[in-house]
Amino acid sequence: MAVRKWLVIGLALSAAGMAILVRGNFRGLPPCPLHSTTGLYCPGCGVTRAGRALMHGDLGTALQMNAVAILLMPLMAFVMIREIAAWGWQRPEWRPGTGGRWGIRLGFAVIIYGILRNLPGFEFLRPGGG
Amino acid sequence: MSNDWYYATGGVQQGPIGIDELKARHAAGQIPANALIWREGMDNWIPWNQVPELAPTPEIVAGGEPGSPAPTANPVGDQIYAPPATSPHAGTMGRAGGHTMNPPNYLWQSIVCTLLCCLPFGVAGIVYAAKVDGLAATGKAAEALEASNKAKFWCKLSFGTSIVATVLYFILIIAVA
Repeated sequence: MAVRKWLVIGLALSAAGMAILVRGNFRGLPPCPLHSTTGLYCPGCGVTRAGRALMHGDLGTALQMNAVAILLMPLMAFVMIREIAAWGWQRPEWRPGTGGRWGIRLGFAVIIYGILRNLPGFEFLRPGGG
Repeated sequence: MSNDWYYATGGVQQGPIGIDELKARHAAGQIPANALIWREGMDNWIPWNQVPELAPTPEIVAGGEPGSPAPTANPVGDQIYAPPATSPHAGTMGRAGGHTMNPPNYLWQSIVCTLLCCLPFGVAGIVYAAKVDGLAATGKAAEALEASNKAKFWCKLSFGTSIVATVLYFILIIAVA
């Protein structure tokens, strides 16, 4: 069964990722490729460190690293699980909806977040509070 | 014979493929008779059995592939591409009837890629994804499809580059250590 095979691969990769987040230190985790090449902060900068803090039960640090990603984590998990379920069980009606107007606003809010992080005066939005 | 046929099934657009391949997949039960078909030059997506080149089809019921969705006319969430005259709610959430769906807009995929892939490509995905529903709602089927495809492209580029970069990073770490 292709579905079961991919489910096992996915769960194994997730477990490996969690183990790396729990045991790895900051220097052992992959850096943001955009930040290391250009010095810019993208909307996703700090997600790895936020994930690590979350795995250690430190919600405060996680929010400091990337508040938007942490706040959107439940929503992202929900849509991804629904997509996987729709694919695995071949139920197109389970596919996440298109999001409508609020989805588009959310998308642009993420872009604006990425821009603001690079502007002076918004250092508090950067990973670790600038 | 050029490969310029597209079909949409289960909310996912497939193609381009040649007409022979299209017929072969239909015969193999991969494309139900209520699937929507589009090719370059068509104004809109139309059901399989209304495409002149494909009708008449010998079987109307969808193929019996195990586990495939039930061949109901329009299951909720199935992507039916309709002009605005018949789709007053196009581009909004909660289209429960399933009659007014647009091409996939890849919005949430773009947002996830933007937040998790640490690359600016996801931003391009969001910009194109945001256009899809609006274009579809005003009946611009080809433009909506093009925006959908571009959003998909940027999502895949963002995801792929991110995976490759992460794998290379870990290979480098192991090589150094």
